[in-house]
Amino acid sequence: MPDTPSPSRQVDDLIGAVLEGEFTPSQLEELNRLLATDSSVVERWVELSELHVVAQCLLGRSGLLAGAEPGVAPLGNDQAVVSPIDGEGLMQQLVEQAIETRRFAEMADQSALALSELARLEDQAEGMLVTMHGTSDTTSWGTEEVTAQNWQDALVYLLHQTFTSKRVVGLAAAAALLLGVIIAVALKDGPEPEREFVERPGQVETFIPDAPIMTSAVATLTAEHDAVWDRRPNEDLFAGQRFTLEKGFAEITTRRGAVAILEAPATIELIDSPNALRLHTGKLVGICETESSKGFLVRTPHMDITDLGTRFGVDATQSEATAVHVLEGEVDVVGMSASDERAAEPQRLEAGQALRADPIDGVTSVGFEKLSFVQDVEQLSYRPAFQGHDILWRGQASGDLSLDARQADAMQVFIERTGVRLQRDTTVDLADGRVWSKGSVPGQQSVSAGTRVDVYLLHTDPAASEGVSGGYTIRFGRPILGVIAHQDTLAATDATLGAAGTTYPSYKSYTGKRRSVGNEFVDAQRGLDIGLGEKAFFVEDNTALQLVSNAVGLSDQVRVLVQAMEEQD
Amino acid sequence: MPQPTEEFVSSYTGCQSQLFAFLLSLLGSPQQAEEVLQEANLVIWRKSDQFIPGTSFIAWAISIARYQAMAYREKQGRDRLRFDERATEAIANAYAERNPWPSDRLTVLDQCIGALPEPARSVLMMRYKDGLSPASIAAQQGKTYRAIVQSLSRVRAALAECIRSKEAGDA
Repeated sequence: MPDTPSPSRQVDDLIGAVLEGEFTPSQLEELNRLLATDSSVVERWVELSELHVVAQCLLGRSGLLAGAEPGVAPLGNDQAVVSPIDGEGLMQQLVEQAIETRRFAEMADQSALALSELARLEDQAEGMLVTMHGTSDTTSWGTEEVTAQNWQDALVYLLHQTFTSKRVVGLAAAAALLLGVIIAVALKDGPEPEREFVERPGQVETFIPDAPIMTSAVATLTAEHDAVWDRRPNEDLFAGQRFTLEKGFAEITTRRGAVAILEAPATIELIDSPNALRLHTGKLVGICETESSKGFLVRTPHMDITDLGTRFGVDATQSEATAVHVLEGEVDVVGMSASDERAAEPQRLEAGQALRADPIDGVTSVGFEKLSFVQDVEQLSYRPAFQGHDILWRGQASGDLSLDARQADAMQVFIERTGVRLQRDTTVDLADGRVWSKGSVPGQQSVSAGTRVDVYLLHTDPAASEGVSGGYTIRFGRPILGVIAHQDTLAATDATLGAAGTTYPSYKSYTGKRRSVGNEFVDAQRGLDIGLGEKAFFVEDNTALQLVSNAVGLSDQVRVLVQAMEEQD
Repeated sequence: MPQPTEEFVSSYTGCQSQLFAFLLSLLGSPQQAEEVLQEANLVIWRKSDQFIPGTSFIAWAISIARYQAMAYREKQGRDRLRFDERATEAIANAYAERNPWPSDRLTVLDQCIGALPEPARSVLMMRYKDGLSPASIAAQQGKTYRAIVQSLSRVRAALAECIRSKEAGDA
């Protein structure tokens, strides 16, 4: 190798572009031609691509360097002392030893394998029955069901047995054997609930090296709401893991502190980076509020989005296209079209802008849609269940809720306050299961002082000229104590029950405005309009509100006082 | 399946970085390379009794990985790898003939990284230590995407040269 002439910079740049996965068809064609005809280019390709991988392993501490030091002897048993109760500790110890002693080349791959499998198997092991025979000096394990609580002990027992049984041909074989057994058992769900494992290595038929590369978690599962997963993730998330959120919401925080809020149905994959993830399908909101989280990368089928310290929403619910909407700050977007050179340069997007990328039209501008992205998972515990026409959950009420400020062709539901203890008897328009409709007199009922309530605002502010009308059922899951549906009662409670720092419509803003309903023009009101067919009534033992609303042009608002969640058992 | 021999296990763990680099060459995407590596490893393990001791393990493993990569692309609905048949053949042969990285070359690489001038070193660290994409680095540094891809290419070339010259000096 010493006297190899330095290949041209042009070839290096060509190789570099292809290695990084961004190249034009003509660049690829040129490299194909050179590789087929010029052995020095092949050598250079191999040299640089190998360096690319080795640098990732060396600097990123990932495990693919296994075996780069073929002369290193396997760890002795003294280094593999097993605590019978601390599986994760053992694995961590192995990883740390490996890094410290520079033997990660030999060990990290297997340790990563074991760590990732520990994480992956937690739920799979539950409920399975494994019969293990044999004893050792320090621990024994007879016939016991492996559960979510004891699977680590079971794994450690097997590790211990493997390390001390003198049948070890090296750590790699031990881990392979061990995981082969565990995985073979784990995969054996359904028809064969009991499986006997007799410790004879020759019987192990399956070894599935289904391992992420990184040895430490790249992200953490930080919050969930009504989440249903295809297989439940642990708190720590590792590169290579892929999950589908079938229902609900989940919040994932990268090691660098970027937050991703995932809305079902969605599939994500953790990639080998402390500040990135791949969204295969579904909706996601990215939030970078710290300096270290800047540069958070979301890879989607049609574009890469880099967050520059901001909030953005990604909609990858359609297989043919992905859209990004910048809610605050700025992002850079790179379209995935390799045939379009322009797409290789990032496009900077600012708040209020949105882009769509698809394989046919490439990257194009689309209308900005702020409101369809959930930005706070914690607030989701207050989210009611909906039925009927389009209803959108907006979370915490804030900012401007006056006329034309939050237009959407859907009913929008906000939580205004939680756990408020009423200081005095509070006047409402509807209580005790009554119906609010034509002929109802506002302000005739009240909710007693001292009651603790969560306060919701139902807000309809149509964007389309035909307005938003229809019937809705909003299920709170706990008793509704009062409904405020008239504009005067709303105005009287804005200060005490409305969200702090929020602007509500003033009476003046509506005075003199007229709205059309059918062929009629009537005076606008902020609340429900008596006599225009708008109705509200309690259903389902007062835990749900049924509402008929006809909002055309102007806004309809209804405030709902629900028994505070904290007071429930 | 007979129990794999110690030599087999050692060769198996020893060739992972080469297999990964090879698959990355063919597929371009690290995620896809990982997926195919996992599938290839499974096949390698299952077929361990078919490996003839004394022959080149890496050449055998590369041929399995190459087949798995093609099968993967077919499964994905794409009819071919990104390189054409001749280029793929050339790359596979080159990998099959290549020795694993010697352990002391890691130390040399470490030294070479340490000797890089600062702007180059920080781009390298962002790419490999922090795992940032070139697009992400470009955004952070206020440079174009192409400029970063080019910088990375130059840094890799410089490291390759540095390793070569240090190893020549030691020889």
